[in-house]
Amino acid sequence: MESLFHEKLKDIPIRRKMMFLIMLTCIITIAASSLFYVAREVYRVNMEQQSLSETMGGIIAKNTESALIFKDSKSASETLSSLAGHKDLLAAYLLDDRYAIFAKYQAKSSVRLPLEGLSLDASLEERRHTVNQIISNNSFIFKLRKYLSVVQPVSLDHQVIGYVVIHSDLKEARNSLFWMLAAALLVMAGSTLAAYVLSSRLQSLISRPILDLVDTMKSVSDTKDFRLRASKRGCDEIGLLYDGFNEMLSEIEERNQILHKRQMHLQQLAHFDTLTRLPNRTLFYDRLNQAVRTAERKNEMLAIFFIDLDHFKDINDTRGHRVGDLLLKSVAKRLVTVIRESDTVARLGGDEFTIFAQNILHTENAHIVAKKIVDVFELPFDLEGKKSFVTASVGVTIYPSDGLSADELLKNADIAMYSVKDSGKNSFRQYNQEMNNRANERVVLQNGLREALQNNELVLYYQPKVDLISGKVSSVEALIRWNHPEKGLIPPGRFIPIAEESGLIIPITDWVLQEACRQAMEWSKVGYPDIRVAANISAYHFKRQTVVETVEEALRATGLPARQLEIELTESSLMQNDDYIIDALNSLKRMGATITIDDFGTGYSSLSYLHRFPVDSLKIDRSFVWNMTKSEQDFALVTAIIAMAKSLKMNTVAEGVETKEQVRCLMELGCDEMQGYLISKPKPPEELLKVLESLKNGCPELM
Amino acid sequence: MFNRIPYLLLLLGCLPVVAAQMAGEYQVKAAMVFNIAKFTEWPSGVRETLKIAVIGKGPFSGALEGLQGKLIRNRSIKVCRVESPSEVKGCQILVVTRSAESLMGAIALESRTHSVLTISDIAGFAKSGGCVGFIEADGQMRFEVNLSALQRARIQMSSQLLKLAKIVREDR
Repeated sequence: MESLFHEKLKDIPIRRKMMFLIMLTCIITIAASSLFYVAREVYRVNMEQQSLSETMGGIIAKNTESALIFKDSKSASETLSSLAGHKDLLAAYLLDDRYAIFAKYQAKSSVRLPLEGLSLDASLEERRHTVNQIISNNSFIFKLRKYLSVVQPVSLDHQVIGYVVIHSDLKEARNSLFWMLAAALLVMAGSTLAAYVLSSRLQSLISRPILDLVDTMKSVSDTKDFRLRASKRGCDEIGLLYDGFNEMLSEIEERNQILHKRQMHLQQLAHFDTLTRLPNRTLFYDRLNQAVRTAERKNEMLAIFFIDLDHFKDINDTRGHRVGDLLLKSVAKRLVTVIRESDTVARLGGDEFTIFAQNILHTENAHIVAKKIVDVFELPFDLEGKKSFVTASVGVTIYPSDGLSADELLKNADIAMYSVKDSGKNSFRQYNQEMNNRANERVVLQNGLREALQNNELVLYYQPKVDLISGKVSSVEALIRWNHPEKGLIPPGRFIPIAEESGLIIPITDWVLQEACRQAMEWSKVGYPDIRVAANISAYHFKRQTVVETVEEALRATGLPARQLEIELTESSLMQNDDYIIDALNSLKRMGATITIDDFGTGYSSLSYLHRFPVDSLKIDRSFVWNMTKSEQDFALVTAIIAMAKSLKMNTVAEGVETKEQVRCLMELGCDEMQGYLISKPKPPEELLKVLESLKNGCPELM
Repeated sequence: MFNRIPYLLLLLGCLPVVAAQMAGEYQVKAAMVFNIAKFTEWPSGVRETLKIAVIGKGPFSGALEGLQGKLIRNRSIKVCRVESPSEVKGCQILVVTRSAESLMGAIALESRTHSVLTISDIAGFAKSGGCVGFIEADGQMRFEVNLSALQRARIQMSSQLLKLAKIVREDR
């Protein structure tokens, strides 16, 4: 039964279900109680009539005993007629012991009674049967019948002497039953109507909040708006359901927000550089790929700019990473101002920035943009209150001429940028095929350099420095060469930057120091005990702060006295780590080594630092020496350097001296030493020995 | 139960009445004595037996012999003959035959003394101090009752019976 209800009701709306259930319950209850009361009334009426009839029968029986016994039917009839007042009485019979009618009373009635149907000459058996029929017809009280019958024996002294038969009309009872049923039906109809009205109202007590909840749920699932809330009406179980639902929504909303934030953050992390907030490599590649496809489709040109800050490492190393980061941020800000809305600036990593510009009409336009980018660095950067000049090298490629894919375009722009770096920095260049060749060579060299060290492909050439006054060789500068098995002799300018990049500069410098010292010892043994050997130590080495140890080790290993060692370092090395450099140079100085600043004048730092370092001599850069006889400015510079050195009690060395005119000029200015092709080219040690031999008695050029 | 009762009645209760109709006047009268006894109560009640005394000779007394041993309210009937009214002590009913009409005075006295219901078919029996007297009316046997006599004898007779009877007064 329950499962049947489930099956039938499961798909109809809950309000219908509730109404159905309420009404069903009402109707069943009302019907059951009506049925009970009607049945009870039927029973009661019947029983009343029955007991009334039985009482009458009993009275009749009691009062007709003697009449029966004494056969006095007249008296019996009189007794029966006393029943005439009873309105429900149909008939009363007094039968003798043989069931024959002894006396009777009959009210006016249309009902056909069984005893009337008996003929006068009916047999005893027939009469008895009729009486028994009357008795059995009366046995079921709820049977619908027209009249009620009572048969009571008349007995006297334990002997049955006759029977009283009373038939009562049930019309009244039937009428009252009819009205009762009608009233019950009316009440049922009324109740059903009331139940309908009530249930349609009352069901909303339960169904309304549920339906509201369903509506809220629907709108949440439709709009995906988890800010919606269901407003509850009470604190019953449905109220709890509301609370739970709302809590779930809050939870989902909160999680959604967190998820959204995280997604945004991940998106940011995945596609943007955290420092500069510029697009990162990934996003740039994405956009560039897209731009390339667009350009291909529209037949347009596309310019890619590869920007690398010059000397960024130095700033990072000397002023700390925080300042380096500040610089990168400022650079990012400036770069954004150069481009159009449709172009993209990205930070690929480190100090590398990239830009692409779409729809370039002419190559010249790309060059204009590149110039703008370079010019962005004209103004100094304010880094923690200190104004610093930073420049950048820019490599340019154009789609489609310099590459067809994003990868190729970027790679070539990188190559072009390196080409700028190699040729003086702070400028831009567009990519060309030759650059690629050089870049390739660079790769080849980089790969071969490590083996070169192991295979003794590196050799030292030596170039003497001559005292301008005595004309004698004062020291010999060790210059490294790479005797490449295929490419022949490679100058240091082509592989030292590579060595610095790869970190190989450390073992190379170690080797140079050792080899130079060893060579100097050798020369001491063959008769040149006073000649110093000069070795270049790169800025990189000073950064590692192992210069003193390296020098000590070389001297210890070779046994060369420190006074015979000269350390050459560039101006930029001095600028890196003030305290360490001062300490290191002081140590070297105490040991007895000579300290020389190489390529002096090319650096862009002020002269004020010089007196802080224990420098012995300044080597004037060859570019000034070459031009000093042609350019007044350069002459002035050389004059100034020499004058300054004298006042700081430093020696001066002119390098790159090629003409006698230069020698004469330098002598006039009071320069102390010189070095250059005029005296000797850098030469292998065995050849240099001949040079030393020839210069033993002074330099002929000074004579 | 109801099925059987009629047969039983046929055999027992109704037999004397039916028989009386058949067997004649005295049989009917004897049955009436029996039936009247059923509706009568005596002041001291009735013990194990209900004694019917018959005084005088004749067919009536013979017919009464037939009542011997019958039961009324679980008491058996004992019929005995008496010669003198003084012998009626201990009897409940005295049937006076016509031959004993001369003893009326004594009979009335004894009836009153010993609470004996006197019944007779002597004409004017009730009027002359007897309790119940049989009479014939419209060809049917009826009876007269002298209420004063019953009162004197402290005998109660059912109103049902009285309803059928003809009430008479004594002649004074």
